[in-house]
Amino acid sequence: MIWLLAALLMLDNSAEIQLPASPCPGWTSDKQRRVLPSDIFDYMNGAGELYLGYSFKKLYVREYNKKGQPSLLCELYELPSSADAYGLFSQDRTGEPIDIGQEAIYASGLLLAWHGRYFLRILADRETPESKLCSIKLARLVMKLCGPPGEKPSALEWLPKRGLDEKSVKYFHTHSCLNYFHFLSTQNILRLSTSTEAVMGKYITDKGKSLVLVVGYPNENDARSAWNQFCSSYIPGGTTLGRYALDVLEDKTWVGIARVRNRLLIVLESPSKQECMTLLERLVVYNSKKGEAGNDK
Amino acid sequence: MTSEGITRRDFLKGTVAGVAGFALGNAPYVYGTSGASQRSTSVVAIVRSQEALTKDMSVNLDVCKEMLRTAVAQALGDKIEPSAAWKKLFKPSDTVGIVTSKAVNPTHMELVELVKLELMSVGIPNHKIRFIQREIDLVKECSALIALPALKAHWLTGIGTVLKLYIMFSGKPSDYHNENSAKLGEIWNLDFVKGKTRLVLIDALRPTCDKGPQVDPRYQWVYGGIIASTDPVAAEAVGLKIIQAKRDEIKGEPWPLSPPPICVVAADREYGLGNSDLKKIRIKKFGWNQNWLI
Repeated sequence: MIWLLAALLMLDNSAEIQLPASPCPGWTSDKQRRVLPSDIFDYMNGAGELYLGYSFKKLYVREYNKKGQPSLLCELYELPSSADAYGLFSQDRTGEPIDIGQEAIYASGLLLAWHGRYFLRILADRETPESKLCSIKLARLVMKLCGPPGEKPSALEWLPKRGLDEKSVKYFHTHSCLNYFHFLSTQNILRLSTSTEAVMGKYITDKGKSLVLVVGYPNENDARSAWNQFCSSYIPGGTTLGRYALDVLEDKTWVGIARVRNRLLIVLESPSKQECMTLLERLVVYNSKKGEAGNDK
Repeated sequence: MTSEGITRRDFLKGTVAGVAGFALGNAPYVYGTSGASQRSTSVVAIVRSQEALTKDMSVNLDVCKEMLRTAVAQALGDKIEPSAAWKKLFKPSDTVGIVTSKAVNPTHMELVELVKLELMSVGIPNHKIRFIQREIDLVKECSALIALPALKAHWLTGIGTVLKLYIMFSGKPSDYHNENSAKLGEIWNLDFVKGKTRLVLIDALRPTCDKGPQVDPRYQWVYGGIIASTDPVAAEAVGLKIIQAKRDEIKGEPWPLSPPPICVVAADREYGLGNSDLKKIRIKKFGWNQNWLI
């Protein structure tokens, strides 16, 4: 048993990533830190929930300094899957796209990127031309350490492509993340957890904007339970039309929900009943075909 | 509010837990909380300077010193001198804790040092001034507290400035996130905290209006401000209004804080800590006369 444990530890250590010590001329770094989920609140009090919500496994941290330049904080998160690395990246893509890893953006001294099972975040105290150049160089070096590229979440296929604002798409698991993107309730009325997968995106038509949320549950029973709680909590006076439930909110926007197998398909903030139903029907047809890309007519 | 908690619809109806006026459309979270509090008007002073931060984002000590003195004096009255204002708030016999925020958008420590110098000028010796972030024992030693957070949004509580500052004093910070953030006010009424906060100063030099949980420069901007009040809820309400206005400005359309900052009105109505209604807050503005956002 001890041998097995030791072997596992060795295996784990061999998989350790060493962030570059001196990525750019004149820049030095402190010792690399490794943060585990159990230590996350010591490292970032009040912030750990986000990364725990994606079940991160390890966080590597290193700070870089050069006289006359802002410090650079480099954080590399190791996630259980490439889907989760993408999920963290998808939180906010506001910035200038840059060619690093599988996707990356840079804005105001912040560089975000994902590659394989890793999510990278480099933050400059303040932005200078040199700090930007060094951030980009550092990111390229780090991405080379992150192994092969990974797949985006298959759950992205739950959203039909036509009319979808691709940049608005987010992938997540937990109630905290949902409420951060779109507040529904202080309670977890959709029964989200690290075991559920959720994708959210904005649809734009000539009738206006709607928000679509699709949640995949571990099984159909869980999806039914979440349906019941959502309907009783959020649209108790709603209309049931066959497999759909709809209601108009106090701001005159429409909400609709349907279920296909273990998925809940939800349309939010839709400008009209007709638009809400049209989108909901599309979602049902699309997801009934197991979300195969290209089936959306 | 139902057993299912507070929903988006409660906000749209304007009937959240009897605290009408929360709304998601234009997100005036602190408007129109009419008819509840019998409290008199609170005063919040905002002092700003374009030179409060240098180009490399360092604190300009001389400028901030004057801003601080003006803000505190104006928070206490219209004709009070700065030195008299500090003496009105603190006695040489006090043990004073300066409570700062570390996470997300930390309080500028230069401001903390300036506050300390003002306290020393009142006659409070160095060894009776405590710098506090989470140390409950230090809070217990203090006869007075100064809340000195930086202005910021928070991804679990909507706003994470004044009311959330004392979360570590609860011993169970995770009990006050998400739906439970409405209870943040109760921490201010714990035996060893209640009544000790004589001054609230918000470091609004470079606030952050979104994201978190970590600092995100995409949503930080130089406001160059110090906000002062003796009413923690009023100070929070003013800070919240500034954050919300900045969010709307960035998006060019209403961009409500999410999750909604339910702690602010609750601190007023449920815990009696101060005024959340902007109609009951006299806002005094001094200095840099651009982009006030309030």
